[in-house]
Amino acid sequence: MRAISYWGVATSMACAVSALGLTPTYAQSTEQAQILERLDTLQAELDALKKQLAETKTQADQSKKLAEKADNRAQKAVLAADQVRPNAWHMAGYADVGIEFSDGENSDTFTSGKFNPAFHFLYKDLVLFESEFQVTTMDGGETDLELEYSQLDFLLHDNAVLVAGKFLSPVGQFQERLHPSWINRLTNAPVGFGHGGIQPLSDVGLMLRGGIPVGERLFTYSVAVGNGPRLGHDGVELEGFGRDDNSNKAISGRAAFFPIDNLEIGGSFLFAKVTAEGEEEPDDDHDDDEVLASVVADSGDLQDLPLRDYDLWGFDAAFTKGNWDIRAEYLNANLKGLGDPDDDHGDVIEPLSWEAWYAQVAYRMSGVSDSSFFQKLEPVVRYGRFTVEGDHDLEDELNEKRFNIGLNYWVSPSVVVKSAIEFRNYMASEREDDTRLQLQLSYGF
Amino acid sequence: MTRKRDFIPLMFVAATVALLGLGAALAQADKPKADPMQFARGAKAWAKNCARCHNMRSAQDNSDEEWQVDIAHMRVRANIPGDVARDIRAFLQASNN
Repeated sequence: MRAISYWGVATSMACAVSALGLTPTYAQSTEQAQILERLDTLQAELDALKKQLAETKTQADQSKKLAEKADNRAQKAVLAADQVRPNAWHMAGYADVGIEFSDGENSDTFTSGKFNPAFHFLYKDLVLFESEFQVTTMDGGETDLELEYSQLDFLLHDNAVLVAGKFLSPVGQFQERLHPSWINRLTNAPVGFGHGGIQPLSDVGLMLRGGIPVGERLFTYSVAVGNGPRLGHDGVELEGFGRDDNSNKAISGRAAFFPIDNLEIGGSFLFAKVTAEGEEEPDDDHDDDEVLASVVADSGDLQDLPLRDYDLWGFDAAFTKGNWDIRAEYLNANLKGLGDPDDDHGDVIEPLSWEAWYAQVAYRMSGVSDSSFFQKLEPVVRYGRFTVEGDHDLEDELNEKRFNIGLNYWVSPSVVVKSAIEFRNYMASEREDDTRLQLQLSYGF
Repeated sequence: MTRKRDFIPLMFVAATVALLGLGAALAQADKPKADPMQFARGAKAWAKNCARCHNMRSAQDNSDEEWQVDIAHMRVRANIPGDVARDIRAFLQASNN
């Protein structure tokens, strides 16, 4: 038994010694594995850093190239400004032709359209002279030449320009900025706007205008004093007259604000006095001098003729972002009456009021399809309404609701082929409604 | 010794030289310095302002001189602040070739 015990003890000791000898070997191999794993991790991190460094270097090279390019372009811009003569000029403008089919009173017809050359002459960044003509062929074949505007612009300050001469009216947005046919999304003006409407077309006088940054936003203003409108056959004629027929000057203007980059909201006004007897129209038996002489004889002096207040106000909005072009305008005008309606013996002239508005949406199809043809298409819809109150003849002639639906094809940014269907709904019961199919080609140059 | 009658022409010449120098200095001061950021500002302002009314025209449509005048016209018509108009002009003049 004792011998067996010794052998057992010896065996146990041998096992213990072996175990003690193996333990460091096992521990060493585990540590090595961990070190190797750590090394692999470090190698991976190093590779990632090397890759990142390479990318950073590439980006730095690209940024450097971009900066050099920008610097070159900036140098070129300065050089270009140096090369421009102190007296520089530019001719721009637009022209259009068209055809119109109508199921109403008008016959189907080709329209000669308009040719509107505009000249701009600039002396340094101090004075700009600009003028635009409109050449059209009248219904009877005569050529009509009109001076749209002819103005000297004094660039007083970054935020102020003084305009003198005949200028487009700042009231609203259509007449001053949208009426050229290469800009207008449809073939004609909205009802109540343009010739024969209540939006003033132009004036002769002085205007101060400009844009003022307000933080990140922009505020714009235009304030004009001019000869103002006159009374005419169709109510108030809102064109720039070369001489004033009374000493009262019209004050008009517009202020606009951009609450966000793509949205413009504007408000407009015009206050004027018009000479009441302007409604007198010379007939075939009397020339102008005779009519004027009789009016002056009745009133004593031309300056003493009664004046009627004419007030106009309105607002407009435009949202232009990406493919969308959305606009709306509203105008309201009043011409004060004369005389006491309760006086049975005195002459009474009734007041007149006008109201016009439109809303328009256009969507450019670029990005909708891979087809280059579809990308150049632009559907557009517009609805407008024009009403007059206070004169039955004018009400019958002018009161109208108009709906347009069109499709444009933009050959280039300034060449457009327009097609549209126009539904004219006259409010006078005796007038038949009219539907027109219109085609127009316009080129802005 | 400088006599009075000699002094007057000297003063005239000095004044002329001073005025010429002042003119040259003013001309130099008026000369715009290249601003690399103007191109970027102009590109952004061109995209933001022009499309408010009409399609954006290509820079290649006009020469440097024509852009000089055209942008002045648009500055007045669209009430664009002068500094923004100059940025747009610099961008278009640098991009039209």
